[in-house]
Amino acid sequence: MAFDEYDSENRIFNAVGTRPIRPDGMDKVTGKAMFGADFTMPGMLHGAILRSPHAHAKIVKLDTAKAEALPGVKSVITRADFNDKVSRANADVLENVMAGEKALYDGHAIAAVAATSPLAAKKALRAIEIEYEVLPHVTDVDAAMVPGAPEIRPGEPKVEGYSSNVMSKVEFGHGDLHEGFAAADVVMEKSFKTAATHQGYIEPHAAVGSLTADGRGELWCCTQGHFVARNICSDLLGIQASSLRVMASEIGGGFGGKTTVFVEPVALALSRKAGRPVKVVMSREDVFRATGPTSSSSIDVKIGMKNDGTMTAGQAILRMQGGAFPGSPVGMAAMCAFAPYALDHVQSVGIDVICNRPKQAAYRAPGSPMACFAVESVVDMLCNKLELDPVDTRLMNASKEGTKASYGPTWPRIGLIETLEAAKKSPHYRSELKPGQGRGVSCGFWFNHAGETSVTLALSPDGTVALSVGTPDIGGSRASMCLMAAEELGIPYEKIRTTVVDTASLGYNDVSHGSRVTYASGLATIKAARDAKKKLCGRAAKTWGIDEDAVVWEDGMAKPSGHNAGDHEPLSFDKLCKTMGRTGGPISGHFEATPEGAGVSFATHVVDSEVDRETGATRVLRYTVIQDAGKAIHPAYVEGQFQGGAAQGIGWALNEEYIYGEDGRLQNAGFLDYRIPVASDLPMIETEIVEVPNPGHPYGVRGVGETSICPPLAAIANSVSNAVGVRLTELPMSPPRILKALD
Amino acid sequence: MPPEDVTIDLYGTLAAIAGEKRVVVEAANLRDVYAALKVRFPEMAEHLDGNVSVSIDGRIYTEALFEPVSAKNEVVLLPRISGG
Repeated sequence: MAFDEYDSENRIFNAVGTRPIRPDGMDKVTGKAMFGADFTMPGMLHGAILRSPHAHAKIVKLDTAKAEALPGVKSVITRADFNDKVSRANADVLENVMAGEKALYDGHAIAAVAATSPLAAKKALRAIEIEYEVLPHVTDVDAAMVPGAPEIRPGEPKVEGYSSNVMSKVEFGHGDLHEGFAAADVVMEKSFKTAATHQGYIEPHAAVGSLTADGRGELWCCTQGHFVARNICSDLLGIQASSLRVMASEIGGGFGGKTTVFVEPVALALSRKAGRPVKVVMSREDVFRATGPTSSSSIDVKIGMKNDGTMTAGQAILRMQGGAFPGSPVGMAAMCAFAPYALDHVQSVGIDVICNRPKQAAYRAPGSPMACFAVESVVDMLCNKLELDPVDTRLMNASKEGTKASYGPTWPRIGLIETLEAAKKSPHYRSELKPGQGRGVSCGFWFNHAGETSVTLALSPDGTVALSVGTPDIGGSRASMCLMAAEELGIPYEKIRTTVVDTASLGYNDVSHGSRVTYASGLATIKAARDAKKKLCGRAAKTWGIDEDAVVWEDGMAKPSGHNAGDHEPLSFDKLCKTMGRTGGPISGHFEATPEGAGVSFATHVVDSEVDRETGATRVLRYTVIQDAGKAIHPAYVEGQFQGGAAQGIGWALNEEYIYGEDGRLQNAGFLDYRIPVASDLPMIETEIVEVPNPGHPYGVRGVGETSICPPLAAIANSVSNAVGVRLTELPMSPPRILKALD
Repeated sequence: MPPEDVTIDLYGTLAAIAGEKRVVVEAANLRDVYAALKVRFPEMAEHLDGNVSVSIDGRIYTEALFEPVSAKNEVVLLPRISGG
């Protein structure tokens, strides 16, 4: 095979598709792995952040003099200590990291202190003199849209008919809705609401910053993207990007919530002023109050269907609040809403709203789970009304290669039908339900992202490989990279070590998001390995005195090829590495580019549940995830992503929600009152990997990290609704809400 | 490759600026597409500068100014796609 040839359809794999033990596993289970809060430095100070107790307030007075005078206090910062010429792209990030003239939500950072002990820092926070002028607030997405609602960014309305809190409106679709609905035998219309939920990563945000007055510094933090953290922090602090070296720690969960910065620039600004390293670690309460949950939503869906199950038209109006800043994922939600269905007449409208809540951050397939919940619920209602099988109905209407997606493009090769067919054949779907139990089915869709990527693959004289990547490992990617390098080079998995290196050691890398790492860093690893193989073949050619074109790489060896190549003993990877110092010097393979061609992914989930009608508590009895992975590099990790998405979805569907009081303050900023599922809440989540190769990747990989959270909200809502005989339209379906519905 | 007349499908926000859902521009690659749209619809500039993704025959590109396009391609402009 040529060095740059792609053959994702017919390739026979050796290493890829196996399930070796993860290289980071031992350190993690023995407590040796270094997470964000584990890092310390000599002379390090401790930072603490003063946060607004008000949902919306003007800062009338802010005096830090008394705090600065306290023993042990080495620096106090406010907004004035950040770059006043920050780029437009990061202006909202800065406003969120440290408030300017107004506190925009309960928990908004106002000032920060660095002191010689955590206690001294907290004491100093109490010495900061601050006066607020409390302003009217709004936390509900629908209430924020109404003309006359409290204005967060006062001004003229940007979208006609709404308050100034509506930031933008976006629309997708094609065909003629009137014609489509007129052709239906049944038209079903329903409204839905979903609560804001947090990504719920177990490790809070933590950072140690060390920045000197000349603008050179280091930052250690738990992040999904240390290159992006470097770029944002350098902008917020007004220093050169390359003067700041950022190291990513091990990460205890991110799920999108660690793709931006919160405490990182604060630690650096405190350090710059104090002249010493500063550590800032968020409490769980801070994480809930001041880091990005996902949006809450309000959605109307209308679908027309013929008696035989043919969908004739679909319409979705989606409203999402993104906290006090524009940028909710409502545009992507609108694109995903009807993605599983081939519709001649379809429209989805997304409305982006701001209100007095923390700035939303990405959460696994941002926007798609809520859109999916609303659309797939209405599909289930139609199937019930027309007494149709929910899988057959979805198969009848499924998007496939050549049909037009609801958001515009014509689909390339996709695997939705394969997931539905697998669901239909699954032991779960063919099993009988007991009285009182309900079954729910849902499809789900998410894009994949590629992004800027750099990889270096350095060969060692002993025949081992040091693979350097710049995408933090949030899902076992180091093992997957080792497998792809082993596959390409034809050497054992154990001979390769993958390291997530710092920002000074590699070219730029986009964050680990958008299900992109196995796709993009994987493609980069394969290309870097091919670059190295080409160089190895060159060394063999020199050794044999023949043309480079007459050498091929097979089975981990350079071999002569062709009529005029001559009869030479193949040179193994080990031998070529051992002699590389004398045959031309060190050999490394590189890739630096933006791979394009990420493949989208579909999933189908099946859920059985039952409800205790006395308490309103739901028990998930059986759960099956079927998803198209393109090609599963490390099947155990792919299954883990499937299970993780389902587990988070179960929490979102049944219990998790941001609860605000009438004062606009968050009422449940802790895991005792914000209930994520624990192991005893969950059944063993069954998985089936479907493999419809993505033609845009050498091995056919599609990203799998996000699609698994798209169907659960709808699948569980359909299951619960079918169990109790009442349609549940608001998430979470917590016991009080179910009891109310049963009343 | 010489420029050709390329049909561009616009998503809602861009369609509202253009006043139509589909426009034709002369282009050989995506950079040409963006440049032509900016000249014709100056209000689109803030969206086209780093805030869009584009689907070419169903494959989505985000950072690819020099990706070739021709009259044979289906080109759809979309809001920038990111993830979590």
